[in-house]
Amino acid sequence: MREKRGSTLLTENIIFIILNVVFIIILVVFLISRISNASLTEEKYAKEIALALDAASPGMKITLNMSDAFDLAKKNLGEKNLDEMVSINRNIVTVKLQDGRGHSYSFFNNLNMSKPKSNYYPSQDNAWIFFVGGYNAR
Amino acid sequence: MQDKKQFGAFVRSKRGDKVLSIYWFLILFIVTGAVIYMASSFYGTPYDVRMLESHELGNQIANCLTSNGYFNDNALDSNFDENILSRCNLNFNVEDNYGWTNKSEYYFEVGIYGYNKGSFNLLGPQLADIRAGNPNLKTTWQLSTTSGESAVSGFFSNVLSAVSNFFTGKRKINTIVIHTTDGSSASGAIETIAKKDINVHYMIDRNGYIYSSAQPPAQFANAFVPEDQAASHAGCGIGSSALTSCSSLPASSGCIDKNPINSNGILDAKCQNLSNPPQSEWCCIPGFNSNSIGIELVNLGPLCTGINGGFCENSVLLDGYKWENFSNSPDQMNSLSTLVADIALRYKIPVDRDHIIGHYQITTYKTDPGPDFPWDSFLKEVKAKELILSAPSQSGTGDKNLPQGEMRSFYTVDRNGNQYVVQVLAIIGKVEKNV
Repeated sequence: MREKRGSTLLTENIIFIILNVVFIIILVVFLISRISNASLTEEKYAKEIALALDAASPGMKITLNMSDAFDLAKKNLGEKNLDEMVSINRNIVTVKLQDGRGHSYSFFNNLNMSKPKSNYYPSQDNAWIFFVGGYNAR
Repeated sequence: MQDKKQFGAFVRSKRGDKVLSIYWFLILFIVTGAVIYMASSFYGTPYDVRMLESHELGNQIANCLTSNGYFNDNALDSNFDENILSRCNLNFNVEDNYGWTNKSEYYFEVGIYGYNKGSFNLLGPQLADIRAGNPNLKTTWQLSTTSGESAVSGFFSNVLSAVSNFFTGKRKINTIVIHTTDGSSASGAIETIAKKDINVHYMIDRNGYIYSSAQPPAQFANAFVPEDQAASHAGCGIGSSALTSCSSLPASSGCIDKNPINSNGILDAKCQNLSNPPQSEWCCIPGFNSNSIGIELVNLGPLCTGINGGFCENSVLLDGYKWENFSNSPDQMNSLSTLVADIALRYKIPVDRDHIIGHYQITTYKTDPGPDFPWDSFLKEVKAKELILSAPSQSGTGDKNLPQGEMRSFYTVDRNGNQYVVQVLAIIGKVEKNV
């Protein structure tokens, strides 16, 4: 009788612990998914690049370390599509790290950034390099 | 009787079986819900950079209104505001994103005023009013804005930096030393300084014009160094040589002990009270070049002795000499108090006689700026201008549902020495929804 009761207690405790662990795991997975969400990283870099370009002057070279963005882009888009991670068109910066439209943000500085390959490109060390050539013609 | 005895997180039922405690799981659900809600609201809120953006917009406009340290006269042209976007290299025509429409997400206005030191806010008559973008943003921003952090001094510094070559963090500056040139003209004084191979940070002419490394004279530019470099204006040597002993000078110089530091490296006791130096020696406190900003005022100093009229009109007889009267040069004193207030704000230098000093307080054989210098009224004016320049600017509320912006003021001069106060308001709309 005593053995049966002890065995029941053990089983119940194990179930209880397993349920708690499952709960905590779900919570942690949720938090991690929110923190490492590609859309958050897209937004962060779109705005940081836009701000950097707002503050830029012709002749500047801006190197932005985007290691975490590269990791997400490699995982979601594949290594061959890294060139498309960042695009700048008509004063809009778009960062795309997953399938979809990516995140876009505008900048007001009238810089000529219209030629992607010569003005900005990914470098070997997981950074993006932006060359600020000049202002758009008035 | 129901057995309520707790066993871990279980309770016993009537039959004696243990069941999972609903209370425990209720707490777990509440905690989980709270964590999920907080994480969602924190990470779902847009990364709001609009305050920084409005600051950058203000900077770009300010840079556009100045050139090589001077106010751009053409900013007062009647057609300047028509072309201000292209003149300032601004592009508000952005593609429609998130329902934003062209020209609706940016707004700025610039008020250019004459400089009136007599008014509370330094504003004289308004000379230009330039606006661009969506004015509706201003209405919303005004309704929601409260006083924010002070941005005036920093911005003032940014713009004046073009004039003053302002750099911070490269050396510790805690003193401003005021000199007089003991000469009749700025050009003569600059030439003398350059030929002696010494230098200062600023020189202010009688008309209020400020010479510096940012706008040096065509010749003798080496007479000025930027603020991030120590100038040789308050050393204990003659020329560029820092004397450590009278032995390096001929006896005819009359030098008995030019070095106030004794052999133990301690300031000689007899030199510690510079207001009462030993009669037969002169004292000098070394080290002031490294921690100070030097400002020269074009002024004859004691050389008015025996001279009447001209710059020596209304000269003041003190200590056996006639001194050029500073009240003859109100523009110079005005520029000096503005410049000192700006420097004091930037380096957090207390406005008092321990930190804003005359050259005579360092070296006993120096007299500048002379006994006629109006220290009390000057420091009062510096404090008043410091208050005005550091007054809180309006800024945004941080509410993601409202436009964010910043209003700031700065002082600048044109190439003719005309002084202006410019107010810039820059507002960014771009309200984003939670994701």
